[in-house]
Parts: sequence; structure tokens; C-alpha cells
Amino acid sequence: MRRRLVRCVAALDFLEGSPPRYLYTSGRPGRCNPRDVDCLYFSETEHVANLEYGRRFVGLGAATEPRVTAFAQVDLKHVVDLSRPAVLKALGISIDDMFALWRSAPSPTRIQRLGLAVSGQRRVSAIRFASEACRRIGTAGWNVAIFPDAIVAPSQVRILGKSGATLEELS
Amino acid sequence: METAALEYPSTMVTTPTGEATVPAPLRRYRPRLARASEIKGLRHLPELTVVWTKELDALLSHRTFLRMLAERLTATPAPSKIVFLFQTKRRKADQRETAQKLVELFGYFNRPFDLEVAQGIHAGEDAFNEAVAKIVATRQLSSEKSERADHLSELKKVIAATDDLRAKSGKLSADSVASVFGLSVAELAALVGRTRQTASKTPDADSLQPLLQPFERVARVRAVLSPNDFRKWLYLANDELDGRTPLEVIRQGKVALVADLVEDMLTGSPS
Repeated sequence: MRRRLVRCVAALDFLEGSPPRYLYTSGRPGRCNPRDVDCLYFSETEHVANLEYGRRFVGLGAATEPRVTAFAQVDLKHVVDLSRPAVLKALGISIDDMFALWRSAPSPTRIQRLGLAVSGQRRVSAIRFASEACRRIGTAGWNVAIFPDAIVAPSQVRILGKSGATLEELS
Repeated sequence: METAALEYPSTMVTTPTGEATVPAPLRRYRPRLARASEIKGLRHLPELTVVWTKELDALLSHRTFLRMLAERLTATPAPSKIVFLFQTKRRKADQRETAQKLVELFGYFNRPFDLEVAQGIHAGEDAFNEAVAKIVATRQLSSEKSERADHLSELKKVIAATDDLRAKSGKLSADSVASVFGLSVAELAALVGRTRQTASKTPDADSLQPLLQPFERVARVRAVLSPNDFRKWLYLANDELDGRTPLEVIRQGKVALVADLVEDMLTGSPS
């Protein structure tokens, strides 16, 4: 996968750190990673990133507040692409698994267990998965979960600044 | 370090039968006494629970009591330790049998590293000191770990949004946290496994800080929500919380789950 990825974040003072850290991971769980497995999440388009950000503020004033859009240029040699039926079949993952509730699940979901496996090797560095925010409004959109521990050259992730210059790099 | 070491852990003494009494070396911790029947009704155990009983065989015969205690320990966030203090010291000739019975006792619990055993009151004093030291050290480690992983805590807007949760000392205050979340101090105290008296007496106590921190992480969402919207959000059914409201989940003792959601909201992490 060689493309530009996008993420919307709240308009906080993220850029005032010294130095700012764009590729920060907290180890908290996400759709594709269980707790304590580092993972970076992006969307494939600005439209999807906006939907992902906005869905959590529906009905609240913050839905219209300013937000910051960050861009990353990624070059990932191998990605588990869950948009491909053959990949889902090979992994024994269903569409329901892809959208399973994970926050309060008593144990890691199938997708989180897949993420755990990806984070523990060096060949595949990301999972491409369907956007729940898009599904809720009846459209299709895709996100990418990148596992920093699995990134080795020539794969790389670059956070882009205003002029397209690299602000931070992971490789 | 000095402040934390001086602050005694919240302590409870219980026994599987009859009235508990406080062993002399424990008096300085001002423990509360709890009947066996009260254990089941506790949301969490305190940081230090002492089971004070005559001897190991008698304790093992109280299976329901041990099961309840094990369940409560599982539901209690760290640090929380149990010291089993036996009045009677077993004879040396019985050591092999004792080891087998301790395995049986520990088998009830899924956190065996949080258990200590002492036979005789003098050994009990050492066990209490060791348990207290481990509790204080665990508090410190967890606070350092959360500081390391907590990038949002450095942001000015986030700091400003949670400023009213703090007392003049700069530490989180149970009073203020309860008020912001629309909870009573007694309810907040119960949610974090403390008594209302403990939370009211020193609302910004060091021992409360790690317990109040998840609430502070939830309140950070006020960096982008007005006070009215924050209250509204707390009461809105949330599809990422299985249709429950954030306040319902908090009241179920799962405030950390809501805190993670807030971090995803602020950082726009796709779901």
C-alpha cells in the first residue's frame, strides 16, 4: 500500500509539545489492537476521517467545532486487506466479526487477535478494515491500522507538514 | 515518595465466623471491621484486607466465604492485597501438609501474587509491613506508568478543561469530581472502593489520586464540549458502549472504559 492517509483530531494544542509527537501511541485498545499493543489508526480519505471524528459528537455542539486534519504518507509492503473476500475466508473472519463490539468485550475480538498476531512479526505491518462510521450511514469507507512494531524498511510512515515536508517518520 | 509512604492504605479486617477483632499491630492503620456476610455486598475490597482466623484448616472449611472474597478481589483494581493471619502457628512437622493446604487456599484466587500468609501475631506484623510497602510501591508505579503514556495530559486546553476537578493543593478532589459528574460523594466513594467518610475527610488524599484519575480522563472531553453538552453526553445512549450511557457505564464501575472512549474522541481514532 502506497498512499496518503488521513486523520481528524480535535482542535487542541497538539502541536505545542516539545517536540510535538505525531506518531504517539498509548497502548489503549482499538478495533484492531488489544490493550498494550501499539497501533496507529488512519482513514483512507478525508471524508471517512471526518465521519469517524464526527460520529462521536452527533447531537452535541462540538460536531460543528473546528478540527485538525493530519496527513500521513505511507509505504507499506504488506497489508492484511479485509476488503478482500478471499482474505476474510482464509482468516475465518466474517463481516460480523469486522464490526463486532470491542470496547466492553470480555476478551479480545477476532480482529484484535489478528492485530496481536500482526504486531508480533515483521512481514505484514497493517490491517485495512471497514469503517463503522461509514457503515452506519449506509456507505463504504476504509481505515488502516498500522503496527509500529511490525514496520521495517523499506516500509515507512511519514507525517506530512503544510508544505508536504516530513514532520516525523517511522520506518 | 515520602508522602505516599506515610499514607496508610485503606484497611479492613474480617473473619469467616463471628465478630472480627483488630490484631494489635494493625491498629495504626485504623481498619474497618467487616462481618463475613458484608463481603458479598462490597463493590471493591480496600487496599489491604486482613482475614484474621484461628488456623488454616478452619478457614478452608468456609468455602463460600473464600469464594466471595476471591470474587471481590477479582473485581478490585490494584493495588489490593489480602493477608491471611492465623492465630495459631502450625508445627514444623506439619509443613508439607501446610504447603498443600496453602495451594488449596490460593486456588480460590486468580491473583495469587496479591495474597500473603502469616502464622502468629509477630509474623503478622512483618506481613502487614510487607503488604503496605508493596501497595505503596504499586501506587507509585501505576502513577508513573500513566504519566508516561498520557500525552493528552500535557495539552493546555485539556488542563484548563479539568482544572475545576482539583483542590487548591493541585490534586484531584473527590468533592469536585463528584460535582462535575453529578454524583454524590458517597456514590463516588463507593465506585472507587472507599467509604464516604474517607472521601469526605481528605477529598484530595494521595491514596485517592489513582482512583480519581480515570474520572479526570473522562472530564477531558470538556475541552471540546460545553458544560451543558458534557452533561447531555453523559446521559446519551452511546453505540460504542453497547447502547448504554457513559454515566451508566461509570456507575457499573467501568470508568476506564469511558476514559478510553474520550481519548478516542479527542484524537479521532477511527472505530
